[in-house]
Amino acid sequence: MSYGVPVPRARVNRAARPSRRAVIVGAAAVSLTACTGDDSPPATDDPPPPKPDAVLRSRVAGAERTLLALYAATAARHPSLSERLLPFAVRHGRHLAVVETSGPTAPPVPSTSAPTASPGRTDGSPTPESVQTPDVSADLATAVAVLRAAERAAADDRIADCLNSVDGALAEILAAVAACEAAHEVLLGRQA
Amino acid sequence: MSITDTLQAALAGEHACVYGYGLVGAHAGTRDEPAVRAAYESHRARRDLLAAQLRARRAEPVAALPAYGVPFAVTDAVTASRLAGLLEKRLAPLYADLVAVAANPVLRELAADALVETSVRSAGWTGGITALPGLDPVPD
Repeated sequence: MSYGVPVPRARVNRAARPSRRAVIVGAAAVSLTACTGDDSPPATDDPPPPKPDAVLRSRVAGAERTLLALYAATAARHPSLSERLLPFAVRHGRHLAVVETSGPTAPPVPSTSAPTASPGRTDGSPTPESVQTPDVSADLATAVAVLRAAERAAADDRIADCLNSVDGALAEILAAVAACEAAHEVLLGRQA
Repeated sequence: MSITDTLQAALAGEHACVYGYGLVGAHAGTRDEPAVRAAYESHRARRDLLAAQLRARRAEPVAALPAYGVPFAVTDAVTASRLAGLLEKRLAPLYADLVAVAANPVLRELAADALVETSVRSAGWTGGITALPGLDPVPD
C-alpha cells in the first residue's frame, strides 16, 4: 500500500498558523531589513542567501520525506505490518505539512552551484522526486529495528534543529516533532 | 507570556506531577513500580531545575498546592497508569510554550528535552502518541 502523504489538514491549524509572537518577530525582522536595506550598496547578481530557518525547514521536510519513504518501503516489503505502521506514517505526514507551512523554505540549490555534493549522506534536502526507495530487510524484526533506529536518529536531529532555529514558533514545532519521533521509537518496540 | 510566567506555569505543572505520581505509586502494579519511581524522580529533578531558573531571574518559584484534584478515582493499577498518562500529556504544552519563549539555548534545551521525555513517558503509559505533543489538544 502507498502511504503517500495522508495529512489531516484540518488538524494542522494551531501549529501551522504563525503565532502572534512569530508575527511580531517577523515584523521586527522585516523592519530591520528595511532600515539597513537603504544603506546597502547595490547587490551583485548573487541572490541573497536563504534565511537559516528556511534552510532548516527544507532540511526537516526532506528528513520527513525520507522517513515516509522508509515506512512505505517497509510496509510494501512486510504487508503484515502495513496496518500497524499506517498511524506512524500519518503522523510523519503531519510533521511534513506543519513544517512546510510554518514559514518560508529554501528552494533546492541548483546542482551547478553545489559541485561538492557527495552521493553519501548530505545535508541537502530530499525533494519529493529525489527520495529513493530504501532497501528493507526481509526479516521483519530487523525491518522494525531499522525503523526504530531511524526514529531515534530523527528525534536527535530535530532537537539539534530546534536549538538552531531562530524563530521560537519553529523551535516549538521541531521540539514537538522530536517528542513524537522519540515516542515512536518506544511504540515500535512495544508490539512485536 | 513572559519567560518568568512560562517557567512558573511549567513549575506548577511539575508540582502537580510530583503529587500525582505519589497517587499513582500507591496504586500502580508491581510491574510498573520501576517506571513510576523513575518518573517521580525525574519530575522532582525538573521541578528543582525550573525553580533554580526562576531564582536566577530573581523570581519566587510558585509553591506546590496542598492537594490537587484528580479527574477520576484512582483505585487500581489500570486507573493509576491512566492518571500517569494524563499527567504527562497535560505537562507537554507547558514545556512546548517554554521552548517557544526561551531566549537562551540552555533554557530552550531544558524545555525541549523535557517535552521529549514527557512524551516518551506518555507513550509508555497510554500506548499512543499524537503527531505534535504539546501543540495538539489534550483530550481528558
